[in-house]
Amino acid sequence: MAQLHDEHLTTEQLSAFFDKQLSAGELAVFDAHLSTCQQCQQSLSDLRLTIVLLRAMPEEEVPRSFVLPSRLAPVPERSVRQDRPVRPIPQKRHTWLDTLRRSVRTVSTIAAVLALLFIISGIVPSLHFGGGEATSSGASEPVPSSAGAGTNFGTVKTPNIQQTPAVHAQSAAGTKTPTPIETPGPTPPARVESNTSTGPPPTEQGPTVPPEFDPGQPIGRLSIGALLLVLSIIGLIFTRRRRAW
Amino acid sequence: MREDEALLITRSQRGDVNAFNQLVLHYQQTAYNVVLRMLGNRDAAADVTQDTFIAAYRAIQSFRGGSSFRSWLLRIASNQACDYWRRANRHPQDSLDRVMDEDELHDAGLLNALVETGQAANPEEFLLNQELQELIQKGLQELPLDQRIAVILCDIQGLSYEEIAATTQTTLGTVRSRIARGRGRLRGYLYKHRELLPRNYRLLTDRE
Repeated sequence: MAQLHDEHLTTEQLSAFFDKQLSAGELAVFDAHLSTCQQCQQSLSDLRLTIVLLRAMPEEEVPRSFVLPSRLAPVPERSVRQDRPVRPIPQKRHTWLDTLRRSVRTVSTIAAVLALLFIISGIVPSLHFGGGEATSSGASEPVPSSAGAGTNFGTVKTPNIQQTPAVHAQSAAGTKTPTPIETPGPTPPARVESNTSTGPPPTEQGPTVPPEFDPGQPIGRLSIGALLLVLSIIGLIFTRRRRAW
Repeated sequence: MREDEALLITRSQRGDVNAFNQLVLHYQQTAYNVVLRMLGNRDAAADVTQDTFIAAYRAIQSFRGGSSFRSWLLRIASNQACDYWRRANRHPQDSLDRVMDEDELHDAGLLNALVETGQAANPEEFLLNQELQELIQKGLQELPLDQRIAVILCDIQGLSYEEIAATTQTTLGTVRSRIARGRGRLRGYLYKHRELLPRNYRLLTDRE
């Protein structure tokens, strides 16, 4: 206030001064300012009183001994807490539960996203083509019907191709271009492309899947999507209740 | 002493509870008092201290000896105390913000009103009456947890900045800043309640 352009000392400088934590440069500035600034002198004095009061806080005796029972093994937690079984156990379980809750939540969220992808990919074709058609607007070649496509997949693909749901979702939602008719011969390249899920040929698994859950058909994708959605909602509700509790 | 402690730690890591209990006996006073100043409640402090030693025993395998055992133990204790505090206080932030605002209003020269200047008292001989202890304890509880633990370790337990940094797993700069802000807030709190401080209060004033 009163000092022209002489900046007042900060609380941090004053505080560090008491602990001898000012560097030589800081200390020079500190001394130079303090000798002329009554306000900072008072501030220093107040801070000193605060520290003196803190240091005068007495050390209290422990109310009891905290030694552990000699029979304590690393695992059994309850045996230690016979006198107060309530408090520490929820505390331990809380951290454990938190981890579980977080993972369930994450999985549920992923499932929900997948479910939406499945449902959208199941609804969109039926909106555009009145159902039954597995082609999407992005398809370069129109294809007769999903049933025909399904049988074609069965002949072209080997049934033991393992695929993740993510690949299903991607193929179902995005590049759904079932044009495998022109690839009866080059099966190996088609399979490679299906594994990387970037090529135009669709990726389907073998004909062992019942039609209600065949991702190649809109109804199948809808079923899978609904199932995933229900699971994810259950998961989310479950974890939310856990958190409230 | 150091050698003994290292041996006790090694034996504890092999599952020797009796060895660990010797460490407990040596550190329980410190741990209990840190937690007590954090929480301001003796029963809660006893519970948390007990939990601290149980947690420490279970985690003793992870103690590497990089920092001192005391730092390691006090880290567990302060974490346990913070967890307890957060569980017990759903909305502590409101009151903390209020205190901070008032800190801005009152600045230097404020505690002058409550002190008798002139006599230099020896801090070691300084005895606080019960009322004043409670006031300071309440003031500590108004501090944010990170500042509270830093001030307690520094001014009440007398730890060095280095050991506080090891305990709280922060840098020296952060320690310095937290201690300063904690002390500054406490100064504001004491000024706010200056009428509770004794009139014939002795203190050190204006001594460089």
